[in-house]
Amino acid sequence: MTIELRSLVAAAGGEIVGRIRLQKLVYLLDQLDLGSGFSYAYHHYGPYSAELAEEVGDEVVLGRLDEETRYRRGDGVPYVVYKSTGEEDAAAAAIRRHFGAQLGEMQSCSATVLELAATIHWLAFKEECEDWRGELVRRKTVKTENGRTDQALALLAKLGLSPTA
Amino acid sequence: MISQRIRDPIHDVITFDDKGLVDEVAWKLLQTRDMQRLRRVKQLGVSEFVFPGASHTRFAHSIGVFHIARQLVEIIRREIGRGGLGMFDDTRAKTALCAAMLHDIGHGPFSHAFEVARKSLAGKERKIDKHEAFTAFMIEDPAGEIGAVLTDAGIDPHAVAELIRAETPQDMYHAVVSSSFDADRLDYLQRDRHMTGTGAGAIDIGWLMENVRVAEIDVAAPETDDEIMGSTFCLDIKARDAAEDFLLARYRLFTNVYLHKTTRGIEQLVAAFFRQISREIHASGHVGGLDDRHPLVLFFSSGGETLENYRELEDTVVWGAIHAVARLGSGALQDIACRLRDRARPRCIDLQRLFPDDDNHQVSVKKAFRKMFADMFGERVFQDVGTYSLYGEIGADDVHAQKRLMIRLANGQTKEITQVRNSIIKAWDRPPSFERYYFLDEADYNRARELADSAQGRHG
Repeated sequence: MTIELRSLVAAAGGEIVGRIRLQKLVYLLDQLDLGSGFSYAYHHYGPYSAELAEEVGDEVVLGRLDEETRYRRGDGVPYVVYKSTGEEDAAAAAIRRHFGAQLGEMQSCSATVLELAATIHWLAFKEECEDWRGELVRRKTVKTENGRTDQALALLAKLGLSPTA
Repeated sequence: MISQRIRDPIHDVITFDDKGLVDEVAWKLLQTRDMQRLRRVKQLGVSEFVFPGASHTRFAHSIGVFHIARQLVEIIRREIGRGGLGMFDDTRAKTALCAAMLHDIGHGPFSHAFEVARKSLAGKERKIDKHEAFTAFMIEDPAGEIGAVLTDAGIDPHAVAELIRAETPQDMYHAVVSSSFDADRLDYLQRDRHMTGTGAGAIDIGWLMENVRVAEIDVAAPETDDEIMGSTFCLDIKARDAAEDFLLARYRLFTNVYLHKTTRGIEQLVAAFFRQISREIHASGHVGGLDDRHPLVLFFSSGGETLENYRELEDTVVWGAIHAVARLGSGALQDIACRLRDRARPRCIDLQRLFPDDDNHQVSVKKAFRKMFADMFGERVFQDVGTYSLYGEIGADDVHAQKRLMIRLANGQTKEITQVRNSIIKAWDRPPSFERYYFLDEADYNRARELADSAQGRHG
């Protein structure tokens, strides 16, 4: 791994809410040459890195990242929040300098939109699926409704990762 | 059709007759080559090395899944009869029943080990088709028998494949195939528990089935404010105790059976056998002990990952190859084949066992192992790492939304089972993980052991 996760979380505003958000955010940044060194495979929430998940777990054990469990209002489904610990370091400042705008764009989207954006990118560029739009609907069904696919495409366009460019 | 009956150790008599929605089609599907192949693919791979009774096949499991799927479809009919869920959709019900019967046809031999080996051979960049994809390919194969059987019965093969492929809940019929109470898990939990002989957990299947309800749940990631509703199964609060037992039984099967240390070690050997075969083919074009037309040689040759070659692969074919290579092969491949034939287990260091209350040491020893054996992983040293939750092994960011066990309260609201008041099952702050290292050579094992012992302070 060539980046420090705690620095990344610090650069993202000190907090990343949810495993899905963290995974898709790092995946998309890697497409912008973040160079994390993690490898990805497709799973049911889109591109996912087991190495990243393991590294996050290790960072929590070593006290370099905080992990807090919260529960969704209503049905009580649990999720985790990652928080940076200690002072912001030079690495975090460097990440913010290079990727600050992109991190801001991604942090302002919902996790579902991030999931769709990462999945569109994966389908179009990694699986080289010509009908990525149709495949997205097949895999994600109701998640693609209510304008969320358009929001995901708008995010990819802002990141310079649009499959329609 | 003439009424057909099958005796089953879990469900007793399973009847196929003309009173069912799709019994005649299901019976015809059972006779196809792709379904018959499952007679020769074991449900639990190499678990029988630890649980000798666990030699049941995916064929028996698939019949059981169909049997339960019929019961679940009747539950949907019952729930629709109570009002508020629209009309019963005959076509969707038939599609779901056929999907239940066919859901496992794409499994390769020793399913988990085979996919692990193929993934490591493919490297970081190349994507492999997993068993779910092969299932869909077989159903949609224009040259296959299954598509013709389905089409003749007025069932769209693509709709059946789509139902199996879908990651997100589609409708209540999809819940028969993928939900916290899908037919697959309702069969395999009972069957695996019975056939392994493990006494862990208890499944009160009759009471659970009686209390299955259809509900709208939020399928969005829990960390978002998006509210994305989808239909799936949940359980009425009256079955809360049985639901807790069911979840515990499932969890215990994971910890005691599916993730058993020895089983996973032997799976590592099977995966190494596949990898080594591929390497020999790419190095010399041949595998010592195997004919050049052997299905494994064809499959692992360049361009050999075709559907037709995949269909030829079964547990029995692999066992034949293991015996042939053990007798006539050479080098590392022969060594692995002999180990598999003779159940010569690799030595194991289980970091959870060594450091049950010390995550820091666990991480530091893990990092030291990875440095020490960096150029030996997958060859003479194997690592097996994963995390799991109440719902089983976590193979992605989180479990599927529809696989969470939701309880419907008296006021109609649904709650995740750990959040129901006074639940005896709690959500963990951090999911437990397993971290094991397997060694073919005693010298490597001793080096690793010395390092681990030193970290424990025994040699300090």
